[in-house]
Amino acid sequence: MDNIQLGPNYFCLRLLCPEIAPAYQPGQFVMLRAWAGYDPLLPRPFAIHQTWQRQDQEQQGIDILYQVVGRGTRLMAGLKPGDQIYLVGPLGKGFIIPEGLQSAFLVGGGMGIAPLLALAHKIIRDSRPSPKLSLLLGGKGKEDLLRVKEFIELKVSVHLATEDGSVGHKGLVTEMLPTIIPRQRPQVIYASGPEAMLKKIAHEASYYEIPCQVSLERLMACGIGACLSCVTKTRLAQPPEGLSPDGVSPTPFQYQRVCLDGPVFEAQEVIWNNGAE
Amino acid sequence: MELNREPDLSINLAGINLKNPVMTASGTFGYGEEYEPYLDLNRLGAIVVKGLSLNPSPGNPPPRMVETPAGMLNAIGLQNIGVEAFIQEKIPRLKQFQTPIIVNFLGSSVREYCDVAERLSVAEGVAGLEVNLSCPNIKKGGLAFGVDPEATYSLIKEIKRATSLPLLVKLSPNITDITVPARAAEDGGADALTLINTVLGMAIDIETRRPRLANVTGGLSGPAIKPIALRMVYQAAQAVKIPIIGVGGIMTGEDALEFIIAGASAVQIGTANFLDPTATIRIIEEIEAYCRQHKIASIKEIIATLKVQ
Ligand SMILES: Cc1cc2nc3c(=O)[nH]c(=O)nc-3n(C[C@H](O)[C@H](O)[C@H](O)COP(=O)(O)OP(=O)(O)OC[C@H]3O[C@@H](n4cnc5c(N)ncnc54)[C@H](O)[C@@H]3O)c2cc1C
Ligand SMILES: Cc1cc2nc3c(=O)[nH]c(=O)nc-3n(C[C@H](O)[C@H](O)[C@H](O)COP(=O)(O)O)c2cc1C
Repeated sequence: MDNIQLGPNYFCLRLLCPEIAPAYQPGQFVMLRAWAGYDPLLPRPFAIHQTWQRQDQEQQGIDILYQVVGRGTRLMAGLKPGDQIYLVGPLGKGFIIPEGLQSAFLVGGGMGIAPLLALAHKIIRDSRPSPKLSLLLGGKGKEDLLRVKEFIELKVSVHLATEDGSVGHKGLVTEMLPTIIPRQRPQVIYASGPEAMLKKIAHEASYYEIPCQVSLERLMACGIGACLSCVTKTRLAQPPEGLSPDGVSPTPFQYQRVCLDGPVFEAQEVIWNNGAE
Repeated sequence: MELNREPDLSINLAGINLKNPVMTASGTFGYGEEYEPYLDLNRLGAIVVKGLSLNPSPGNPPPRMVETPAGMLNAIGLQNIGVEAFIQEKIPRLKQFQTPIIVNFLGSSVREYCDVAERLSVAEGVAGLEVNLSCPNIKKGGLAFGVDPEATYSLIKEIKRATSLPLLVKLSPNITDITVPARAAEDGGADALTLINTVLGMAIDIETRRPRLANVTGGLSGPAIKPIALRMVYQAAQAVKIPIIGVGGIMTGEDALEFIIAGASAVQIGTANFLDPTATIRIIEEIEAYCRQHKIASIKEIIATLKVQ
């Protein structure tokens, strides 16, 4: 186990956990509790960044890429090799890779990069001939763009955006979409990051009629579908009788659990901001 | 003294035989199936499922949950699939386990409480009912019934008429004197009392000056409420003769034993399941270890044995 600092507030936590690694799909997550006592109380959800294996020592495990944003992640930053942590996973539904995928966009904002590297690995491993992949990654500044080198090594074409203009396009990652989507026409768009970004991407994807999968983040308590804390509004495929979408009444919806029914959803299913403007 | 005999953790609770006094708390264990990958449901004393209403209910808008010091506030608002879907879709699976299923339920009127109780009574595979008089998170969430002793008494009486199943009555802690509704429920015919439900609370984001829950207020659970729950179980145990199920912030076997010594015949585990889905099993093992260590042959020996000077 290791806890490597990648930037001012960024860390990569390497965990030895032989049970989780083999069963995992990119986009799935773990619930992690790296402290004793009851404050903070609840475990925290983290995407599995990638799995690792060391043949010589027959060890395997997972990496978690995280940003220090509050008390739980601050405690995680203090973890040292040998510390015990509590972990449940892999949880939830990951990204779906359609048969014969030939091209895809991976769009990440900030920490949203976490599940995308393993996704790129899996697409490249599973698809013949080699698919054309593009990463569109945005962040505040250069130091907020993680794992860029790894994507380049995978021969993924990389497009960066920073709000301060320190590298790539100056502005938001979503501002690149209107020019780049019509040029490359990816078969699928995968997105992970802040909700406002996901909403914008979903909008662009639907305009160009490109299937889009988004990974949502919500506060969670159990992570396994029991507590109903993390629900989000999604469209009902078949509205029950008497509830027709007449343009006046609100869209027929259901609450789905981000932890168990997601965290990855088809973008068109999601009712953004739970229907509020 | 038989040192090697396994301690007997079994109890008979209002006619329901439990292998051990540890059950799940409603709303924290889904419909049981969510936990199947993590533990053997056969080992539990009983499973109490998420609160059901007559018709399916979507629940409250999000955000529904916020963490607080050593606790959490929730305002789920009783999202549930409705009693009929529960009977058709969930019971067949739950029935396979050698664990009694206790169904928590709620209505918005006396009529609805009775309809749900009646429907569940003719369904096969339900060992007992737990009526929620106390959900703080929905407008007519039974809370009105929970705080008015007259209303409690007559509601329980009506429900008892609608069902022959053992009836547990879950009380709200959001009241000055817990012995008042406790006695009212007993007089109405309750077979046991479950206490406590969550403690009404709230949290505010000072940057936006908005409540952190869309419902504004929510129910506090977890270690933060344990002293309150323990005190209420102790007080209620002095006031009634029917068995009491203690719930509120139980995280360890030691916590559970405190409730049992205070007067609880059984306990429910809620928020602890979120920290570790196998918490119930660990708690059973810790209770067992305590009994072995203290040469207690049966858990019944220590119920309500608090020594007060
Ligand atoms: C499915 C899923 C996967 C995730 N994957 C990752 C990951 O790979 N890497 C990573 O760093 N984080 C990830 N997160 C977010 C992570 O769970 C939170 O950052 C973490 O719970 C914060 O805990 P804390 O105790 O440090 O912060 P808290 O003390 O709980 O909160 C501190 C501040 O951070 C804010 N905050 C809390 N949760 C989030 C959130 N989800 N997003 C943005 N701000 C938040 C709070 O509003 C608060 O202002 C994921 C979340 C989900 C639901
Ligand atoms: C997320 C959540 C949902 C709950 N839902 C219900 C419910 O549907 N019916 C009910 O009677 N109690 C419900 N409760 C209350 C619990 O059953 C229990 O009484 C309370 O949480 C205190 O126990 P704890 O501190 O061990 O969690 C819920 C609690 C939580 C945290």
